[in-house]
Amino acid sequence: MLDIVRLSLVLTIVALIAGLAIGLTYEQTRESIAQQKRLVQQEALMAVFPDGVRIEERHGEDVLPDRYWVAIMNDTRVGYAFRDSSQGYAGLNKVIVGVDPEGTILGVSIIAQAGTPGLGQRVIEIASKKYLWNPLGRDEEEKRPWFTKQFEGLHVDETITFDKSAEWHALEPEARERLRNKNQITAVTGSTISTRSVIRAVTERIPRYLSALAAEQEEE
Amino acid sequence: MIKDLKRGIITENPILVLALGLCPALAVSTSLQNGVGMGAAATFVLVCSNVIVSLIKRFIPPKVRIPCYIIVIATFVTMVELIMKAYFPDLNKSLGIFVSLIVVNCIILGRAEAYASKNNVFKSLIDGIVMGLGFTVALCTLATIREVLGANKLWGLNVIPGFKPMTIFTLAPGGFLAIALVMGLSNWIRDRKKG
Repeated sequence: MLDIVRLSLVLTIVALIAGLAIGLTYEQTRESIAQQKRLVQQEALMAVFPDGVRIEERHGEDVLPDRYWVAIMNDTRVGYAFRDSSQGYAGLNKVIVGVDPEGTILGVSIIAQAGTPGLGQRVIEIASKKYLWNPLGRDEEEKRPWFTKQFEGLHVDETITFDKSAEWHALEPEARERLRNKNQITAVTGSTISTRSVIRAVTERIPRYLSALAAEQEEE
Repeated sequence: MIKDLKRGIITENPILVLALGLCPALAVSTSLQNGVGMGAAATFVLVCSNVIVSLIKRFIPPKVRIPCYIIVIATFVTMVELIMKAYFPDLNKSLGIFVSLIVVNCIILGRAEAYASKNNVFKSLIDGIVMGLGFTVALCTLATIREVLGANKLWGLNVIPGFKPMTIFTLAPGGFLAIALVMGLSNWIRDRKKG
């Protein structure tokens, strides 16, 4: 009996101290983490809209999500951006998608991913053309991940299919054009689940949002 | 000190000789960048948990030592996760969920149980550092092999022009192959030295 009391006491003290330590770290890092999240969102929004637009945040009702963004240029709406997510390999893949009112994708940004490092994680890979022995060599350096770049110009209201024979960053411009005409992207090698998941996040709900927004516009 | 270093990296290398922590070694050794990140995070947790376990070993009744060690380790892992989210967002974006796996990394629990609970604070600190280094070195060796063969890249840069990468090395089976080859090679070298 006495033993049980002693053991519980030790465990309680250890757990209390641990809880305190985690609590303190959480307090210390909370601001920075929130800041990072805002930054990621801000960068993602900039990336999915063309340069020079004014971005306004809106709060939706009914079909529309709590939060979405409208891009305005010369007083006309040139695009919308929505946050969406879908089940990935080991958690949620979260994306921000920019589309124009007709449903053509302006840009896709992945703000959180749940793939295996080196496999599904490559949905955020930035393909470098540089070589190891010449890392400073001249190269039109790509700053955006190739996987999400291939969504640009595709239509959300048609099914987006994927091709497993090659990866987009290794393709010639003509081959990229052919894929775009078929509303098709290339998969990340060995990561069908992550590829599918991102496509789902991009196409599942956005057509509905767009038709709701179109109806709203007509009423006005 | 040098003897300890040799013990951590060569004679008692956690992955290649003790065969501990193979799960994260397989999962995260797909690219060198991830290997270094995971190695650093695991080393930090290992050093901290070794020091704390060695400090509190006298107050912990043997019957509840394992839950206590787990609490200590989990605390540090949670702290690493929060710090990574706040200050190293890129690393967090790519390693993400795998950081929490450090909790169940048997190297850390193994060193707490086998070493830190029996030795003084300073020795445990050194043990944490050398074992962490050994883990990182093994992880980076595996990651180099797998990234070059599996993606024809190293640290995100291309390696051999025109070489078609063998994707199997990025996938789990390639991980097993690479780990077996490196383990075999290190055993062979050790045997030759002895013989």
